[in-house]
Amino acid sequence: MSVRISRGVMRGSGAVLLFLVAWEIAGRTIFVPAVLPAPSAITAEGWARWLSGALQWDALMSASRLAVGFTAGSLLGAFLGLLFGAFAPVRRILEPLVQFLRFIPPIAWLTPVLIWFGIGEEGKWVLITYTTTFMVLLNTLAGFAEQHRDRMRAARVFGAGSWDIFLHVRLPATVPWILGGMRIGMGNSFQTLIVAEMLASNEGLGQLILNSRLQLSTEGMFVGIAGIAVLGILADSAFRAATRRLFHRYRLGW
Amino acid sequence: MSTAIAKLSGQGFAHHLTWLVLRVLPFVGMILLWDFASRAFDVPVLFPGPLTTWNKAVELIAEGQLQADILISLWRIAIGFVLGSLLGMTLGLMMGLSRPIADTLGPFVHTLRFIGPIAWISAVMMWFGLGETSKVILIVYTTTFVVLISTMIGVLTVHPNKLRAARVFGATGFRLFAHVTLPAALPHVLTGARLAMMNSFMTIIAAEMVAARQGLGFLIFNSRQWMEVDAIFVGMITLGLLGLLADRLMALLTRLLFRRFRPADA
Repeated sequence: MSVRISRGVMRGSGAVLLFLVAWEIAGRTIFVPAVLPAPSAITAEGWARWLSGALQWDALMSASRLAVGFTAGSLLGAFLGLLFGAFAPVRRILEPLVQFLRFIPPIAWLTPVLIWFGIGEEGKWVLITYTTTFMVLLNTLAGFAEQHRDRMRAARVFGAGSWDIFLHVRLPATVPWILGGMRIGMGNSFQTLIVAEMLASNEGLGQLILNSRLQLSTEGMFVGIAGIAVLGILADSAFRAATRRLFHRYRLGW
Repeated sequence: MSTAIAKLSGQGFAHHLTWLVLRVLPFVGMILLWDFASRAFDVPVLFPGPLTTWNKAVELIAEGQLQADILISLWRIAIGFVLGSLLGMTLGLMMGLSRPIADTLGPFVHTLRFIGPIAWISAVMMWFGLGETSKVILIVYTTTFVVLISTMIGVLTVHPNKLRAARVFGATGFRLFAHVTLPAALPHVLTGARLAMMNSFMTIIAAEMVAARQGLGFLIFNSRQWMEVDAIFVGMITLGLLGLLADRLMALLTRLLFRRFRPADA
């Protein structure tokens, strides 16, 4: 097993390295920096921002917004998912509304959120919460759709009522789906970061991307993109490590 | 709880009607709440109520603008969704079947899923110009990953007994793929495509931030600059309804076309 993992890691890092080298060559020979800056130029720009302290501040602000939005969205999504799963009529009544709202992207809510919540942090939290909620909710519902007839029959044989079955059979079976939804939802949180930071902010990685665009600094734009990617990979690894330990008995497979 | 369900899920016409009313109720409630909130907010320009929004919609339809916006947006979404799904399915099958390919492409896929289409807007504009290509590429981008990951999971979770049974009967290579792996993975592909359609719809606004002159995304984003909130609401509601309609249509189509593969009904 360990040999296989290390081979996979080697292949992966080899591919990334090869890609970076090809990019570096293309950036230096074919393209002008304004169109496609080489990785070395992007690193230099990132380093300069790090030394001035601006990059850390951007990353910190973005991370705090993501943490609030992701946590709130996950809790809300899981709560609604469980509510829908436990009470079928609630699900049948409210699901059309959810299905309608999930096609309206966070960027469309930008102006309403600005008007309702102002230009402070709250609006940014709301936007990130919004996109995270749907993913967790939909995944939780998909988990409930999976039937465990044999387990439910077994529980009934032992005299479990419908509440016992929910608590001891259906709920535990849904936990991996909730966590899976949270992992996918984390991607949505990160994707929405830039939208949230279109909402009048002076700092943040999304703001760095938007601002660099106005200043035609392609390097700055890529620093922002790379920063979000690094933050995302770190958050995902942390989430995987934490849930693997906390939810050991569910055999999450990540 | 179960008795309540039994009572409500009877087959009679009256019961169907009851359910229909119950499902429409949240929408009615939302509209009433919206009306109340907009009156409480007291600045109709910034927060128009349902009636103002409806009048705006009628105005946009009378001008023919809303229909044109819907058509062009749906066209972009359709192309991006189909291309993105095909690309995602191909890559997902490759990554599911071959460990080296999965190892090689994995890091890129797992990195890019954190970066939203809006982050790429200026890059895509520089690389692909201001035309339709850029818009479609952004939609393809967000569609692909969801289908890819879903397809890969589908291929990886094909039950080993199925593969063993087929091998016992002498199936190898392409036949094993076409008759066992692909049909078993198909429900995952379809679920992924249905989820990805949400991304296609959501990305239309980002796509139409790239120098568009028409489309629902343009309507929403352009009205933002003029603070025409009523037009924003019209765009949002239209987008939500179209998405809902497309989702239902796709669920129906998968049920009709792929019944034998038993796609899960979300």
